[in-house]
Amino acid sequence: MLEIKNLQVTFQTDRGIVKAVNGIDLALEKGKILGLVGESGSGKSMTLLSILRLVPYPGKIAEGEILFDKEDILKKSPQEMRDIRGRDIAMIFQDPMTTLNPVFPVGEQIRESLRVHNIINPERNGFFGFRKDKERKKKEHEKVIELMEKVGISYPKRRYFSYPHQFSGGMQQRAIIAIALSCNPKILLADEPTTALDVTIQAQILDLLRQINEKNGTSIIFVTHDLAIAAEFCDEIAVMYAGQIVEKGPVDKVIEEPKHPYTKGLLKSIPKITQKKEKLYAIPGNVPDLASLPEYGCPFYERCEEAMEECKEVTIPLIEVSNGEFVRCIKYR
Amino acid sequence: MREAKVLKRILYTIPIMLAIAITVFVFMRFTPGDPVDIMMGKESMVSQQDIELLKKEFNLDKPVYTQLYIFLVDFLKGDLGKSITKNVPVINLIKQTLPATIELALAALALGILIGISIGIISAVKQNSWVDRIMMAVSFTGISMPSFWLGLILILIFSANLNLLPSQGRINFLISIPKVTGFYTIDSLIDGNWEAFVSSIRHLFLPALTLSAPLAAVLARVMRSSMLEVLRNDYVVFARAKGVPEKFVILKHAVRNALIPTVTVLGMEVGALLGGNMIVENVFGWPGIGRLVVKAIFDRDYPLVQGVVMFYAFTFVMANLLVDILYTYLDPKIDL
Amino acid sequence: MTVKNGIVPTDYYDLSYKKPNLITNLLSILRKIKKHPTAFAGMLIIIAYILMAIFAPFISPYNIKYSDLSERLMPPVWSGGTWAHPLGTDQIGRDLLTQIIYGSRISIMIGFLTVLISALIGTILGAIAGYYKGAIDTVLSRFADFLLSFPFLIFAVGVMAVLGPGFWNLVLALTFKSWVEFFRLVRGEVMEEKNKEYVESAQALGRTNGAIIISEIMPNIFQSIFVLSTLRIGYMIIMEASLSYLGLGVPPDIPTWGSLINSGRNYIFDAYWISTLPGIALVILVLSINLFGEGLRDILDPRLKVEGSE
Repeated sequence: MLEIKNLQVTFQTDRGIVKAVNGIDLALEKGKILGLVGESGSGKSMTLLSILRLVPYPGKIAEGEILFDKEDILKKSPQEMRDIRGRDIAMIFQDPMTTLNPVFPVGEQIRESLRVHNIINPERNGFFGFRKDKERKKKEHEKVIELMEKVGISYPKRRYFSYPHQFSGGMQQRAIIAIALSCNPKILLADEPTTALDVTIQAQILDLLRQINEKNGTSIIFVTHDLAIAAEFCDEIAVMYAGQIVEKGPVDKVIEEPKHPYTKGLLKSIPKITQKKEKLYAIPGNVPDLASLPEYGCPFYERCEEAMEECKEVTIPLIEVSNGEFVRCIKYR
Repeated sequence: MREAKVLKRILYTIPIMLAIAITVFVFMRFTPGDPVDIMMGKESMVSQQDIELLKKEFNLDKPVYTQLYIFLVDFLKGDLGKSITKNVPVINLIKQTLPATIELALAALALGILIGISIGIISAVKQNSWVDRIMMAVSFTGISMPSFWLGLILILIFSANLNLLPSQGRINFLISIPKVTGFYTIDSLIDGNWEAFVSSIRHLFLPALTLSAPLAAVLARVMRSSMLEVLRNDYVVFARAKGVPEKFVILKHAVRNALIPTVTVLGMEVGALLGGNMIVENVFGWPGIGRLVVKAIFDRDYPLVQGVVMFYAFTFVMANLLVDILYTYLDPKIDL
Repeated sequence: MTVKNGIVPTDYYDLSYKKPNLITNLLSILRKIKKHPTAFAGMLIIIAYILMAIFAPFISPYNIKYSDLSERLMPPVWSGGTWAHPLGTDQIGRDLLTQIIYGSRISIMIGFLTVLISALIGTILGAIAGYYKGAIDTVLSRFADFLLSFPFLIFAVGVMAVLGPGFWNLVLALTFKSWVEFFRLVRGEVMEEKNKEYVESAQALGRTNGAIIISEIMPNIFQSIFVLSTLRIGYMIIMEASLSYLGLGVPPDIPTWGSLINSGRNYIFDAYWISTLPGIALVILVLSINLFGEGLRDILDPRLKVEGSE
């Protein structure tokens, strides 16, 4: 349903050109949940933003194709984009408090989504245009209450007029999900939707998202830095590092038989309750400075425990190891 | 709940007004020169009796605290004393000249807000383009200019050289209109007198523009910086992700938030408007309170100065109050 | 520099790193100013004006008291005048260029002096109110609020009307209201800083409150005080000019830009230069001060860095 080919997103900074996303290929199938895992700065958020063409200045999409239903999003007109955003492809962000506009009531913000995409459509021509407006407003209001119930917000009628700061974090995120669902989108882009919430709420939100995926058949791209969550939630996982995908495949294969050293490192760092009192493992080193990435060679070289001399010099593409599994490592050439 | 806080805020202004009244009174008492002598200055042959009479009339024979008491009581009654030079109650003079000043102030306020906020929004949206740079340069110069000089320059350009607009007064002195509201613009419309309306607008334009300039400049800069900050927020990106047309993302989502700090600044600048209008009225010969008070200072007409200063302070306090109230309705997170 | 297996390379801690003090701070700020075009230009112009004010008697073409009625109302060079009076003459035959040069003295002196005094008063009172809070804070804050309830010019006009024209009267009138701005700024910042850990540790070490305020908190706030000062100087200069324009500034025999503009008012149609040119001198000065102040704020406040450079 959604195919990303060779996406490159660059930023013009006073230290030179930074490649936030450096050649990504992804495919999302209908009804599946794809997980995009990586540390901060790996380019995962940028990937999502590129799909809706919301990359902020001074960044821009330098290269690539994003095919949605076989049509390239990057070539669409502003009007077409506005139709896609929120209606066909919806996005939710990390911090629910800052995602909602603090000066408008929550219900109104949900209703805006319906309004903008004309979901509730009165007859075009009417002599009593004004009355049609009021009628439509009423219907939209009702639909919003319905949506709020669906996502699990209690007392929706009262809460319609509340302001975002009067909601708890979990409720805010539910409201945002309500906005995302309002037009029944085919794809939901979720950028770390649970990171800002505490663990119990996290589970509830994930449950909600899973329900949406199962009942409505909405495909989801789920971005996270937490491999554990991805393991539990996603059907397929892609691991990103320094703007590139280093490993990709069905979730059980990636988790049980990780191939790339980075993936192995990430799995090792997940604290297990059965672990004895050893020091927690951390991948040595730091995320590389994207402005000064080497021209060739593997970007993970500096921190790789299985590194060899050759890794520094040769640039490796994504290699298909078996059906649906891909790695970017010299070992699998 | 908001209503209770608003009420509290209103009550808070009372002690402030009291303090202002006392301060103004004290100031006036400390002014050098015996007002009676000054009044008598012109005539040399005055009998002791006349002096006594005058003193009685202006309460100068009573002890200071009694005078203060009388002053406060009178103030509450609305009696601000009697002008020495014009020999009419101060309150009448204020009533006469007030409409002119209000008309000017409102025009300047409207102009300033309109121009300032629009410039601010446009500059922020087109950040770093040449439009932005020019607008910011202009507004920067706007706050570096004294208003009286700006007024003179405008007169020079538009009256002297281009002969487009008149430089003094409120209306062509040949035209007369009924005094309904005291606002020449509205009165001429009520009267159906198109010529009068045009004339009053022409006379109003330059002074209002001059008075609005510093306000517009400040608002432009504050609005711009506030907009820039707001535009960086997640909810703006989210609004776009919802599919909201860009026009509404800016005008609805962003501006509404950016207005909040701007209104605070507006409140602070309204005071400057009151001060500036003294000068602008002077430059343009606008027959308002500002011109009245400046002349009164030179004529040593203390009751008049006193009354007007009280009036100014009162208005200022009210304006601040209004802004505070407006603020609570703009920002749902604030209780006063 | 890579950290492999938790081992830090020995050159990470550069032991020759110097501890910054006031002088090195100022020098580095100066260096940054040079890189910032508008701030640098502003600074140069300000220095030029200050020099002009100091050396007024030496660089003016005429004696300040010189007036020749036969040469009254002569236009400047570009409007048909002569180089003898490059900027023209006023209505009693005084050379305008000389007047303007001397006028800068008052403007600069009033501007800097007023801001200096109000900054001092405001900072001291603000620090006390912010640090000790309690009754002192309430009293001072209420007083500050009360003062703020007067529009600036009205207040200044009122004071000058009572006191009469005079240099120190003017300084008093202007300072009386200005200190409030500094008071609020310092009070706010002191209250914020007071919650930070370095204050706690100083208190734990047993340092006296006074010492803490002066040596620990002050250096951190100094920047914002300085920026506010620069921005207020321009405003004070305009206020002084406004008061002089109304005849409520310094005594009339001392030349100021404001009174020049006022005297030229009646001749605006015939002899525009008397009012226009002093105003231009003023605008250029205030503009430069504001540019410098803004540039300084840009340099000193890292929060305002343009995005995308990280």
